Amino acid sequence: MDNITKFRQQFAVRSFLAIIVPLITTVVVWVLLDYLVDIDSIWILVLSLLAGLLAAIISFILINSIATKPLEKIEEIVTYTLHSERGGHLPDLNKLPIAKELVESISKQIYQLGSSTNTQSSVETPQTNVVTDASANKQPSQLIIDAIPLPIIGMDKDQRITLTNTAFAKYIGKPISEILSKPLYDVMNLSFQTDIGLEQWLSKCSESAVTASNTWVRVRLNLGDDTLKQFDLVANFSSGSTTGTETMLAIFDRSQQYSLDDQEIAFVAMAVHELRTPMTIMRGYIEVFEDELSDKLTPELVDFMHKMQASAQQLTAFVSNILNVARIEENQLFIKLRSENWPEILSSAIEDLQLRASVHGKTIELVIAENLPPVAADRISLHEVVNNLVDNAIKYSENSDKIIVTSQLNNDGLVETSVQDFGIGIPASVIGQLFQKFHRSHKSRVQVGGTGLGLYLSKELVNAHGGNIWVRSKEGEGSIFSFTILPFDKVSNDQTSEQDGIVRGAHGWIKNHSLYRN
Amino acid sequence: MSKILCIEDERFISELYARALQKAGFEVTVIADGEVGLHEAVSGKYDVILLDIMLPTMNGVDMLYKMKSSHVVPALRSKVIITTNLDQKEDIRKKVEEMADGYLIKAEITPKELVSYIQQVIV
Repeated sequence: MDNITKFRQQFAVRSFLAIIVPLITTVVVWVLLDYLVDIDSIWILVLSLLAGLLAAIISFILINSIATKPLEKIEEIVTYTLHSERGGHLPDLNKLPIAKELVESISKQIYQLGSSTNTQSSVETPQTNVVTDASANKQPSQLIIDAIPLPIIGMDKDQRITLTNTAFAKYIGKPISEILSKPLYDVMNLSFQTDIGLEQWLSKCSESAVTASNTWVRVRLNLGDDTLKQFDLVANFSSGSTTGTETMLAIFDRSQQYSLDDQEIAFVAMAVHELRTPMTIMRGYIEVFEDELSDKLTPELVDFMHKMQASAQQLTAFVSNILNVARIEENQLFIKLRSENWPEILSSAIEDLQLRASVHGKTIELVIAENLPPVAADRISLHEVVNNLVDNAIKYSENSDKIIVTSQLNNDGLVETSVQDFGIGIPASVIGQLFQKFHRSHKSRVQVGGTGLGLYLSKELVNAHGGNIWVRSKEGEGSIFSFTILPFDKVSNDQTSEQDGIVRGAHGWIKNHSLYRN
Repeated sequence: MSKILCIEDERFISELYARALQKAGFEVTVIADGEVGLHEAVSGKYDVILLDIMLPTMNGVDMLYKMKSSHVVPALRSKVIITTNLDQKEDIRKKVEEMADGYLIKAEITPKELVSYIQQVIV
């Protein structure tokens, strides 16, 4: 070890001097007295020896002090580390005559060992780990995480906060004393857009994982008083960590960016409002014409009126689709599941579509099984799903005139509804992408209008209901689109009263958009 | 004969609604301004109030709060149905739905459908 060698050299030089200086002193005094003073040689000997003895005593004192100084400093350092809460000054190593480098290196190791034992003991009694503003009292590890501008929290296995930093305290606007040793969910009211949030993920981790990490985007933190923070969250789990901190969380704030997205939705909502007003008026006047002119017009003109009416209705539905897709994109579409009578919803949706079907020369045959239980449904959303599926059936069945809609309880106990057409069908190569946004059957691109939003929206809405949607199709023979929804008693649990409904969302967000209230 | 107050600033829409409702035998009053509408609404004369949200001088949500507040004595007996084309933010909509007796998107219904909805609400 370099420091040790240096120390040995320094010590060797000094101890050599300590021996040689008294000897030299004796000889020099002897010679000087012999030349300068005329006394007995016996006195010269005595005086020289006395001078030599004096020099030896001084040497001894000096060498003793020099040799024990490093040990003394090390003891000071140990005392300082063990009782750091009492304050006091850090031992100054600059005045050490020898072994400065050696003591410095030992002291560093002592400080390090000292800080890790302190962290461990603070986990057992977290209230002693009070972080004050006086940075002199902070642990080195606390100083480091405080220096990081990213909000950070550590939690133990009970999801109590064991460590945090000033960036986090500032982010949520609470003092550190109100954060440390509190359960995470008391400190932060988080909502996740995925079904598996932090809590579920951690309980899964604690069952099986040794180490794991996960990222959530668009996590919402409601701070009350209308303050909403939105951020991406990174969690790192490490089972049975010796420090007691099992999970580390880091927050990447995206409030500004995500609120801009919200403003885009507000813009879409406003645009939709502006589109809806003239549509309301058109549909209103067309209805007046239909009511009061039908018996005065030729059958051809009545047919034109119906086409106009059906088109206005279609436009209305499309405009709502745009808004809903925008909301799904930004995780803002929420549905509220209530116990509903499915035959009633389905029949009313089909009734609304009859006009559109008839102006295109199609008939819709509706077959509903009698044993259907009440379903967990958001009326408007499922109305939209049926509307989109039947609308597609009308569009893509050029030469056939029949559309069959059936609904029954399937073998899994789910309510399965199918829309069958006998039209052009879908090539196997594109079936996989059918439910993606902006996808349309390649063959029909030319002659059939549409945005490719309908199936995407339907899928998101059905999934939010806990159901599935799929298609079976054969080119030239037609397609059957089917979706399932759940009986209400399968979705509800004891904690949920029927009155409150069950709240679900596309991607896990929740929206109540029920139109009718009872 | 049931009395209906239609607070709606889009004249074509109020014309259509008033016509359809009158044909169905309702007595209809139309007001196109928020503050004036609120004053009329709390008079207690109406069985049903159709309330738009985007209105001049005061918006429909604020009006609804005022109509349903405890300062209105006796408490308003009228059924309040929001008729709007605005899809509200979730939190606002929830509050509105708690206070109102219905929430209709105007573009989704025709005047005749509105009439049959009101008939259901009154029963």
